[in-house]
Amino acid sequence: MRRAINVIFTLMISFGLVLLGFFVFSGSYLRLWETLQDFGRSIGYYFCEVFGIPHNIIPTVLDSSQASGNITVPLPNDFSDFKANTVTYFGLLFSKSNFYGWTSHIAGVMTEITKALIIIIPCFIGMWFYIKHLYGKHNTKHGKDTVPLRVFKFISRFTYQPIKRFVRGYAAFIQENGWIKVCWIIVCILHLNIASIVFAFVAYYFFFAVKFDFGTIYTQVIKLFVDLKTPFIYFPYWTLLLAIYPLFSRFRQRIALGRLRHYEAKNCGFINELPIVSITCGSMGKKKTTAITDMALSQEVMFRQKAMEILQNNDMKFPYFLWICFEKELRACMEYGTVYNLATAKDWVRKKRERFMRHGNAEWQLYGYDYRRYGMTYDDGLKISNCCYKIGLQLHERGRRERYGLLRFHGMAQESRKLLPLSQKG
Amino acid sequence: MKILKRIIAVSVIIILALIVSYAIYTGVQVNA
Repeated sequence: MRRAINVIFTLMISFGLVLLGFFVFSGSYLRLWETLQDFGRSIGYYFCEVFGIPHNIIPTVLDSSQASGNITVPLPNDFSDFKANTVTYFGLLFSKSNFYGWTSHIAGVMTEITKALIIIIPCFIGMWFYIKHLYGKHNTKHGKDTVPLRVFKFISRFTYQPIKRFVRGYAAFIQENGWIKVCWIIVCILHLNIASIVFAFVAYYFFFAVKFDFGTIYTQVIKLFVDLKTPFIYFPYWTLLLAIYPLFSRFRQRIALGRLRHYEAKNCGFINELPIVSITCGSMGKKKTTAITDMALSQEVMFRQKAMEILQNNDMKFPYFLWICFEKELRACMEYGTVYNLATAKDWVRKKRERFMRHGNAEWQLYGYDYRRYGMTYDDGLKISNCCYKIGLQLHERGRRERYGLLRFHGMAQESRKLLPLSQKG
Repeated sequence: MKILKRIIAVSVIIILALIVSYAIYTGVQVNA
């Protein structure tokens, strides 16, 4: 039933998109056909010119678009007009009359804004007082929902929750069938004239590769603006905010995380500079425990990083050994309880080594490692290491990593995670 | 200090907005 609803909804959206293409964005398809013609002529022109083939191809990429003839941008079509307009612009920019005109315009806009603010500000003030009054009283009805909350829950049960449930289920359905999303994206690219922009660019690129006429770039920029404007004939400009907001959000998140990482690096530097024994002093409530647990967590991360480095160095001494299989077997042994501390792990490796020495079966004991081809020893110029010995070392380092990993879930470390939700540990 | 920084930041944003609006207004006047 649920699947049928999802399929019907998908069909409805797809049908709606096709109808939009027919009735609203038909101009984009006409322009696409035009750019495809330009593209074909430019390619033909390029190859004929490059290989010296006689031809009568006239590239049309520089011609103004017939399909988007009624779309205008506030820039002149010709470069000479653009130069004249630039001179006029800078003349006006520093003229007194223009400045007075602008101030009167701003005054008009401010008057309009003030008219709206006169209504909005008292509403906000009233709401602020109401909320302050609401939260000023102590709530003695423990375990009971307030009247506004009950009203909200009642309304959301019939409005917000079913919609949210459907949207989440439908998003999962789309995620499951990725091809639907791909088809919709392709249709949107065609509708919004983006495909035309790409073809027009490639067509001009082939033309430019032969002609090298820099004077034609301006015309192409104007044509690009016209193509970019096509979607905004149907949508208002403020819809750009919906697209820009996620980008802005990602940008500010990156800044915030970068700052947190910087502070964490500073903390790590401070910890590394500390002597072996250090004392944290202070009266009650000065966050001594918080500081110590934070330091412990940072130290743990540093240990894990060091252990990882040693692991990688050892891995690279025998790069063809299947360390991942070794890790998986070790993990399985830990789950079955065969290996539960470093001593049992060492014992496990010793037995593995003995079995290999006795039977020489690399398939079973060394996960198919071709020891005849890649060898069992590594010479770093100072000493010769044995592969089995390295397995033991790997085990030691992996044990350290696991131990620190386990430490995260116990005792103080876990408590400090609650205390410091922003600290980017682990 | 923090409040001063905020006041400076808001003032800079307002001034930038006014400069941009003046530039756009002049551009519109050229085309008009």
